[in-house]
Amino acid sequence: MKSLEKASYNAAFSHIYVEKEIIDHPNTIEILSRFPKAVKIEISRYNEIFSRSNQSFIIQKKSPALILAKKYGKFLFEGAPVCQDFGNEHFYYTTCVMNCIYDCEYCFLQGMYDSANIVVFVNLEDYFAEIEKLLAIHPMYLSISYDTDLLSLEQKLGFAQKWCRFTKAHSDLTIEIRTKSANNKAIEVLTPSKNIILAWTLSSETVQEAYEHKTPPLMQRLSCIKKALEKGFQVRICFDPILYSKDWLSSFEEMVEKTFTEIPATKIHDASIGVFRISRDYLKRMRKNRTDSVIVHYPYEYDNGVYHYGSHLSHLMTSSACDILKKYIPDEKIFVWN
Amino acid sequence: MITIFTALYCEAEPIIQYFDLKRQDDINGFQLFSRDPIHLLITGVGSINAAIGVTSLCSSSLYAPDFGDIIVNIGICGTKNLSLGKGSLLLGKKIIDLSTYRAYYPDMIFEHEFTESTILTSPVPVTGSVNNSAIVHSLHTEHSSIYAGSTEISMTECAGLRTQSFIHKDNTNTISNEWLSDAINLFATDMEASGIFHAAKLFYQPHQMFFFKVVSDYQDGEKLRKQDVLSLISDNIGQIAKWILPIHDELQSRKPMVFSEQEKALLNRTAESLRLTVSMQFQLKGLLHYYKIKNGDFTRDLEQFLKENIKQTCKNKNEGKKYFEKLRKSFL
Repeated sequence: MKSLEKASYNAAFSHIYVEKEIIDHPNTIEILSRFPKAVKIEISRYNEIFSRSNQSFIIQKKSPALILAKKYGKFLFEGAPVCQDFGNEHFYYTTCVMNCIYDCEYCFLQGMYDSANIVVFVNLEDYFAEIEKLLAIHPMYLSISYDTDLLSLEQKLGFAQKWCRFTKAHSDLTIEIRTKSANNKAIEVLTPSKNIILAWTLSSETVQEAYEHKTPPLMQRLSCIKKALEKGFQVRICFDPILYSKDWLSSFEEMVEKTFTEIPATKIHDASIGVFRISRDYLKRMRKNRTDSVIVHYPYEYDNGVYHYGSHLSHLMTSSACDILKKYIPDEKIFVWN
Repeated sequence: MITIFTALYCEAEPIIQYFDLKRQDDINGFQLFSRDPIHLLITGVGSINAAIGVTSLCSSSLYAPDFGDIIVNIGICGTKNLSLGKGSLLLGKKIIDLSTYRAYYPDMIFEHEFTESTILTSPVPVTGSVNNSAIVHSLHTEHSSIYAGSTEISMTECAGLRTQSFIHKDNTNTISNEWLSDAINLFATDMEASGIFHAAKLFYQPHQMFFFKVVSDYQDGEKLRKQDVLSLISDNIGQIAKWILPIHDELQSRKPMVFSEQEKALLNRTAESLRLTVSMQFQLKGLLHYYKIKNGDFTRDLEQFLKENIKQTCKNKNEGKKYFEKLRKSFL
C-alpha cells in the first residue's frame, strides 16, 4: 500500500522541551520569545529526551528539537588529545550547547551523542563562576563552541554575545568560537576584543557540497570572515578536517587560493591544519548511524584508540597542505595536528 | 510494516474495514488482523495488556519491526477540556503514566495538522476529578532538588483536568509561561498509551511511534455505546491513514543499506578462499561496504579479482593475507 502524498518534516525547533527548573530563567524566557510558534513541552530533566537509547540521529537531524536545560556538575574540561591546543598551556573547552544545526557526515557529535536534538544549558552564570575560580589560579584558553556551532545559533540564543561580554571583562581569559557559519548578523552585534578568537572551519567546495549538509558554501563563509576582519576580530582559519579523495590536493589548493584572494592573509591571527581522525567508539556509532556515507565507511587504519588514514597518507596530506598554506601564511602561524 | 494497536474491538472495527484487513491466527490470545503492510492487534484494556500485546506481536519473527516500520496506537480518550469537541483527533506529544509518573516522549518529527496533546495514561477509568495529592507528592519527592528553586508547581487538578499554574514567589514572569496553561497545553486521558510506548521502545525508535486519541467524553461518567466508539474512530481513520502512509513510505526509503544474500555469499566465499581470520573478515566486510557505497556494487569487481588472482583456496593464512592486502589496495 503506497501513498500518493509525501511526508514532510517539521522545521527545526518546531518543538522545544523545557526543564521545569529553568522555566523562569531569564535566558529561557529570552530564547522562548524567539520561537513564538514552537510547541513547548515541559520536562523534568533533559536526559529524559536526549539520552534515551535507541534514537535515530539521522532522522532527528531532519527536524531537531530544542531542549532547554540546566547544567550541573563539571563545567570545564581539559582539551582532549585529538584537539589542537594552539600552543596554549591551560587549554580547556566547555559545552553550553550540545549538538549543531549543521549535518556534516564526518562530524564526531553523531558518534558522541544518542540524539541529534540540540541541548542548550541556560545557566551561563554558573559557567562564568567556574571560569572565574580557575582564572584566580592561572590564565585560561577556552574553546566554547566545540560541541556545537554557537555563531550559527546566535539569532536564536544570543549566547556568543554573552560570552564575548564576559571575556572582555576578563583579560586572562581567551575564548575561541569555532564556526562554519556565514552569520553576518551575528558579527554585526558582537564586539571584537584581543582575547576573542573567531575560528572558521573551511572546506573545499567539493567537500562542502558533498558532505557538509546544511552548511553555507565556502564563498559565503569567506565573505563573513572578511566582515569580521574589517570589524577588528581576531580570526583563525581551520583547515581541519582535511578529507582524502583522489583529487583532494587540487581541491585544497583551489580553496586556499580562493580564501586568500578574498581575505588578506596578513590579517589572519593563525591557521590550523588537521587530517581527518576519529576515536574508535565514535566511528563505530557513526557507521551504525550512516550506513550510506563514503566518509564514515572508508577503511581507516586503527591505532591507539583512533582511526585515521594511515601514517603514510596522513603525513603526506599534512605536509602537502602545509606547503600550500605556507605560500600565504608564515610558518609560525600555522598549527599542525599530528 | 505499519502496526496498529487498539484496546477494543469497537475501536479496531472501523480500521479493519478501512484497510480491508483479514483475521489472522491469534498471537498469544490477541486478535490480529492483517493486509500487508498493515497489521492490527487488539490488546484489551489497560497499559499492562497493551504492553503485553505489543511485546507479543513484536517478538514474533513474522512481525518483528525494523527501521522502516511504524507503530500506531489509536483509541478513544477523555478530557476535561471543553474546547475540544467530541470526535476531536489528538496526537500525543507526551505521555505520562499515572501509576508510575513516568513520562514518555515520541519524537515529533513529521509535519501535521492535528491538535497535539499530553496523554495521561490512567490504570483505571477516569470519571470526574480524582484526588491528585499522590501525584503532586510523588513529583515533589522524585525531583525535590528541582523544586528547591524559586518556582513551585501547584497542580490543582489531574487527569485531564489539570490546570498547572506556576506560583512565582516574586509574582513576575506570569505572562511568559502562558504556554503551560491548559488552554494551550491540552490533556487527554486514556488507559493504554504508556504501556504501548513502554513496550514499543524495545523494538522501535521514538520517531517511529504515533499515538492518536479521539475525544469521546468529558470524564463525567457518561456511558459510551459501542456504536459511538465505532463512529468516533470511523470519522477519523481516513485522516490518520492519509498522514501515516506517506511517513511509512518515507521511512521505508531510508532503511539502512544491508548486503543482499548474494553479496553475503560472495563475501563468505572470498573469506574462505583467502583463509581470513575473524578480524580480517570484518575488515573485508567494511571494505566491501565502502566499495558498494562508492560504486553501487562490488560483486562484479570482486568476482573479477577472485578469477584473476585466486585459482584455488590459499594454502595458508600468510598467503591469504598477501592477497587480502592486494584486494584492499585495488578496492580503495
